[in-house]
Amino acid sequence: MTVEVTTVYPAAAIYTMDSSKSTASAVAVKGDRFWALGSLDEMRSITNCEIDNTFVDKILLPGFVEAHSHGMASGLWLHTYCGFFDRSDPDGKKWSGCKNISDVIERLRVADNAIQDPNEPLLAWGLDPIYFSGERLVGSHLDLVSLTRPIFVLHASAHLATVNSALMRSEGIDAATPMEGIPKDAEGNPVGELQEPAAMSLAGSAFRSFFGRMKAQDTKWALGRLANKAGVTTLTDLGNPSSTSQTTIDEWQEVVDHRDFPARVFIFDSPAMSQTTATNLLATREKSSEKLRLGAVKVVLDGSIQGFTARLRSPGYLNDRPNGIWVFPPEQLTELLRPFHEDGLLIHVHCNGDEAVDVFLETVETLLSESPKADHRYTIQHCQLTSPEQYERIADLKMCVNLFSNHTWYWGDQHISSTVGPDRAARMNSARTALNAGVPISMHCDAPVTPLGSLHVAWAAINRKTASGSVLGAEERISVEEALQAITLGAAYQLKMDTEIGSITPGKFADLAILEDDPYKVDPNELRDVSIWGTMSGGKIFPAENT
Amino acid sequence: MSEKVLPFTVIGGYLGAGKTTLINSLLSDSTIGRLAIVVNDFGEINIDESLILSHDGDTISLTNGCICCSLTDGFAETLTQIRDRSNDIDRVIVEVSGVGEPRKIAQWGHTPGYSLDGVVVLVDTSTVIKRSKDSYVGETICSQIAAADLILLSRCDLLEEDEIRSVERWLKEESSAMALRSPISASMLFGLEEIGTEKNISSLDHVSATLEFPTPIDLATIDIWEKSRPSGIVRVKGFLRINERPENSTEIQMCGPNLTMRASQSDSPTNALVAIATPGTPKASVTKWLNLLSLPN
Repeated sequence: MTVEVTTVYPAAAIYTMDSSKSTASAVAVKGDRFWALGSLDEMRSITNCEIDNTFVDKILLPGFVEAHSHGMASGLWLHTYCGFFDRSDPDGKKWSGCKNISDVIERLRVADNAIQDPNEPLLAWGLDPIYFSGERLVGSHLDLVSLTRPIFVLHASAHLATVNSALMRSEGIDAATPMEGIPKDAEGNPVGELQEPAAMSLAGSAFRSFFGRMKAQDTKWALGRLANKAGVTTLTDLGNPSSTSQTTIDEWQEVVDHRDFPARVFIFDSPAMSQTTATNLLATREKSSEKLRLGAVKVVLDGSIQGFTARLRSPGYLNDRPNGIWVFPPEQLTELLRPFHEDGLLIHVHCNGDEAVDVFLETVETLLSESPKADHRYTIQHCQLTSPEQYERIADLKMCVNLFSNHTWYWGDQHISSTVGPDRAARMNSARTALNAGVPISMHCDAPVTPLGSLHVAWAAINRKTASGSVLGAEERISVEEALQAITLGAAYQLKMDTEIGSITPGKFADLAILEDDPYKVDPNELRDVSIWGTMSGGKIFPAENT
Repeated sequence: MSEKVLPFTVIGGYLGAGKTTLINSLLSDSTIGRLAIVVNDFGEINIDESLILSHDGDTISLTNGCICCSLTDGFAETLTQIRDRSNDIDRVIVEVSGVGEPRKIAQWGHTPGYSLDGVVVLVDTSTVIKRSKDSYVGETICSQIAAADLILLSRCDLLEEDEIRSVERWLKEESSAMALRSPISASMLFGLEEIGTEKNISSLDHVSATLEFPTPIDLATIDIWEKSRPSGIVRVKGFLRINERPENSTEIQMCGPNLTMRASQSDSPTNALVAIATPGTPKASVTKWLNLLSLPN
């Protein structure tokens, strides 16, 4: 009888996130699982083992777990990136941020030159004029790129697009277009901005190809490459209304279950946007594999804070701006969730504002008093403005929170100056308060809203720096240990996958983030710059350079 | 793709305001034509099983020629699918979710191939004032009411006359739209289809008047005329020849306070309007108002 080979990997350091054995200098992997942990000497006694020195100068952590991302995170890279911040594409190419209108024009010119067919639209994304001072970018700026090729640039918020004259001409958008959300100049001609989906859809074929192309199977493979380069070995498609359709499942299975795909993917359904029933979802959960997970619920309750659409408690937004919107009726949340709750399905709810959190807490309290569940792991997604008193209640209800910690960096300055002001901005994504209250936390990047990057998120929670360099809410900072715990075991716990992933523990899946530098030894201010060598997923090594 | 333009009506209102009841009554009203109803979720409308001909993914086909479409693929995709079968459809009705923003959804009615007909917002007369003060949803309810072209009061049968009146007074503060007590005739909801053929009159008698104009009309006259609209006028519909727009005839539509004018798709030879008013409005006052258009400036 042949015995399967166990591979022993000595490393410069191993941080396990397992509280009973937090460090080691070698880890043994057999098949797709961690087999043993300790010193190299301790490993030598394992029957039929081989020593592999690939990681001898690397730092090993459990693979990072991104508990709030979207399947479309990679598809946007089919189009030209025009965002303000530097960002890396799935192939590892670094795109510098567009800091002003000239940068945007230059970026688009290069892209225009690269397209052979003169009629093919130029599609771009990530535009964020909130960071540009002075003049607003309009269609006439895009005309400097091309007077003949239609150009469609989706903004970072995804709520609006800027288009050029050629596009407006070919789609018949003109002074007579009656739709709201199409600003006009003094002469009554559209300036080239299309606000909200109805107006954006007037961009016709450009609009259709922008979103149509993103559905290609290739984008799923690209998602794996993005994850691999960020050290992420489990990610989520949080809210897919067709998660129970066999076609959707087949498409994901074909990629994720492939030996060469470097990550696990957990797809949550959105029953508020689909006809998914609890029975349906239970049956779908049975179709899960080791790498593709199915059968959980995501509901979106309110909007976003930077979009002024999150539901806030008094005193609300600055300058008496009206309160945000409900994406799902608060009074119906209990009714919507009840069957999923009864069947013990995992439920996560998007609540950006503190008023939305109140609604979710009331709902969970009602459902738990009707039908207690010992280990429900109800999770508040985003949970950005939550007060200390709410955290006490969250702890009492044994709920979890998944914080949008890198908001401090990406929008912290805007939160101070225009959304909620410095006082409440300081309590945004209050990881310290959550941990003090005993609430299990995780932290996420909501890719593609912000780039997939667990170390960046951890860095943000540790330092709480804004893009302009000030520290926002110093009292809410957490330690390196707490932050790394949150992006590994903390996230695995909320996905109810903590018995399988999230720590380097014998018996769990051999999923690793493989780093070049020691995150405990670098200056915490530089944690986001730690290089990622690659990952291991289910015992298979994926160097970031090769994927 | 056909050149046909489908009228697009938005039905909004908070939870329990009666949207489902209204939509079900429209589905069973044979006088309105073949409807495409767009809903967030089939579960909400509870279609009578005996009416269902087939259920194919996001579309349910009914035995009377109507279809119901869910929004799983989003608006752009759903409207493309409906436009592809516009030869089999006469009108599109979109049900907005209980917390949705009807004015935003109404913008989809300007998609090529469609023509926005109006935003109807239902209110539950028995609870609306109390709910408008609710800390969670009060603002949502008020902004829906403010977005309406026509407000329909439901559940009036549960209330005394003076209670209904106080709700009507309150609504006047909140919105410039006319508030009508439900049920109303389909003609008031959608306007009459063709000038002079009042084919879809139901038992809920509204008042209507038609007037044909001998000569083209100035834009300035329309402006003055619009502002002198007497109370009770719910809808105006028709085609005018306008002096400033000699190339083609102009389609006129008024739903509640909103007047829309656009170049007619069909080259209608008529120069006439029909106006519909609430029951009890003197027909003479409606005709007199229409007549203002033919007066010299």
